[in-house]
Amino acid sequence: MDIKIKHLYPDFLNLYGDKGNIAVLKTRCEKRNINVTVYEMTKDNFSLDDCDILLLGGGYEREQKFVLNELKAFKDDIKDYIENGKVMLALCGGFEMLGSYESSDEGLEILNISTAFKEKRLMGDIVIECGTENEKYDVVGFENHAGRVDIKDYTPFGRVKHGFGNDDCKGFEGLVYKNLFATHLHGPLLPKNPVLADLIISKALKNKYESFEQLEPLDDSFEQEAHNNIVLKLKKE
Amino acid sequence: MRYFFTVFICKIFIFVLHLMKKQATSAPGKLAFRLYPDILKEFEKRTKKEIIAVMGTNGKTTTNNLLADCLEKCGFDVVCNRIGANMDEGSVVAYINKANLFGKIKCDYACLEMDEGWAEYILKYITPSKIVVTNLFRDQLDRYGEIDTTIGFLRKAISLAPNATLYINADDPLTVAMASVFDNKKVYYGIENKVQDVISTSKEGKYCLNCSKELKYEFNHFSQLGKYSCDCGFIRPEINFNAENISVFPTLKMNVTSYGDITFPVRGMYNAYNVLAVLSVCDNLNADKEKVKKALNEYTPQAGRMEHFNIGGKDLYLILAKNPTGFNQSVASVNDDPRTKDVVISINDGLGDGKDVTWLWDVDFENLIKDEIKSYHTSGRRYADMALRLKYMGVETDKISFAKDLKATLNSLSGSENECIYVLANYTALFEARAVITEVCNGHKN
Repeated sequence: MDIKIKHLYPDFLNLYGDKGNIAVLKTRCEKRNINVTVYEMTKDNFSLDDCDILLLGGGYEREQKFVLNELKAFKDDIKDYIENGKVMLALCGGFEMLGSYESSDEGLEILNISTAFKEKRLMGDIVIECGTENEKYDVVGFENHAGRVDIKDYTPFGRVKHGFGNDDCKGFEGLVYKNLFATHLHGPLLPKNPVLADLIISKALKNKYESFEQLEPLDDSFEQEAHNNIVLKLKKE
Repeated sequence: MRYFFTVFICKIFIFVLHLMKKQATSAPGKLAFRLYPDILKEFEKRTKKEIIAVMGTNGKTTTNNLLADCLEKCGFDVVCNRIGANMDEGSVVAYINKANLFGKIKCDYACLEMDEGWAEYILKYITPSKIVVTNLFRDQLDRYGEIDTTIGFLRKAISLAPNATLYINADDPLTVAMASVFDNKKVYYGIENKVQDVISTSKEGKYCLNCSKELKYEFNHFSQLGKYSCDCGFIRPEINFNAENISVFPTLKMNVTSYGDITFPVRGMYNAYNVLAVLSVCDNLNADKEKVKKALNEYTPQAGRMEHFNIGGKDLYLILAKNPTGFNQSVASVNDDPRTKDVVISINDGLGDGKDVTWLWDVDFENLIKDEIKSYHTSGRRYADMALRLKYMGVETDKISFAKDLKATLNSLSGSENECIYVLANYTALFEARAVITEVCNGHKN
């Protein structure tokens, strides 16, 4: 089996160690003898035809605006990609970029969500409960965003157990739509969340290989230790 | 009257704090502001020659302390906030420490390191005649949000000192672009020619601040420092103060404009810039060159800046690394040393560190995979995050251990067959590690 991961504008959207997510996806696939090719994608080599996992991160305001402007030419491609159930991970500014802004700036408007910016940044460690009624799992991370996102009718990615989430009142964070995972939990989201990392890999493999059933488990003791430390730390606070 | 009263009360307060063995770096300053909000203006009046401000994200404390050392060596009386107490109170306390009980201050020069967030506030009271800007690297993201915010802070501060001469790191496109909006007189220091091949991949700030395009580099010294240009016409300015023939191990040696060969006991490429900044200011002040070079030679680093310990006959080096650029530089320093070694990395997420440690994934730890490094030990509140980072960069997990008890780890490493130990730590982790290292060293002596 093999998987192609495309990372959008990694040189621009590299604010909080997004390369950690790529490293995790790549390593976890390779340990299971799944070949991985990672492409750094910009407007010069934009193509979603053979993409299995698409990653859109966050960056500095100035650089994020630059990327947003360049991506406008491809918004229909990205929309089709998502509607076709292909796997995408959009983080932080990359999540907000998919909708519209309440300011004069124009977003990609691929999703019907809107972001309003407030002076006070929502910042800190965060724990959310994700998954379905039958299969719940916690995701830990760090959020740092001025945007408050109204996700309207979309399903949230998780319920906030500790932290702020999409806004500081409703208690939900991010959104899931088909196989798109969008969240404020920035940068290296996957290292401490091996369950989520494997879910993303599994979905990509299921899309591509009818015969695929499940991933074999890995030794996640370091991952669990780091994950549990955040949960414990927040319980103490 | 109010001035004398304030200094008197604060001197007594500092004395009492010392008696109680408490740190007197900020509380007396707070008290002084409360008693007399314009106290800094009074201090400015009592500064005979000049006030020199040092700003920027990395290297402020080394630059500022070294500058004060050089001026003191030349026989001047210098006020300096030496311990990196760089908020407004820190400057006040530096002056109060130099004053006598009756408010009399012997001060020719004041060398004041200023936190980027506080500089604007301090410059409302005092106006430096020289401002050094070391660099603009990503630092403590969760304090100021983004580098653009930091640039905004510095611009506000510098706009309050239109007559000050700016000493600017020419090799840093962000600092040069930050300062480009000002008509102030500028002195550019930098390293004209390529020194070494650089493996760093951090691309922080490698984009043109004017037009957002990717900068073109002829070469990089480290991080975004190097010889850059952009299609929009933005280029590295002509360097007024240059260093060449640079070697970084075992000590820093280089040849500097108008100074000739100099030696600085603390190694690391980043120190080349700190020294250059200091020398360009000293040159402008016509300070005695031989005395300045002597001060460089005798410089003692502060806690944890490549600080050397002897642990049961083995060399141990403690290095502060608080952001990706600092860490990449520390990693480079570890690799400058060809001996076999054990490496300890300690990461905390306290207030002084920045609560967000996701930047660990922006450090080029890949450069730490070397045959000479035999084992990795992670410590501090975020030991598990650090271990995970090492794991995903490709270190075999059986080479990584959790040093939950740092003392036990160091004791066992002091007896390992490897030749030396390196301890890399971020801000609050450094002080904790230093206490343990000192304890273990003393244990070996007895």
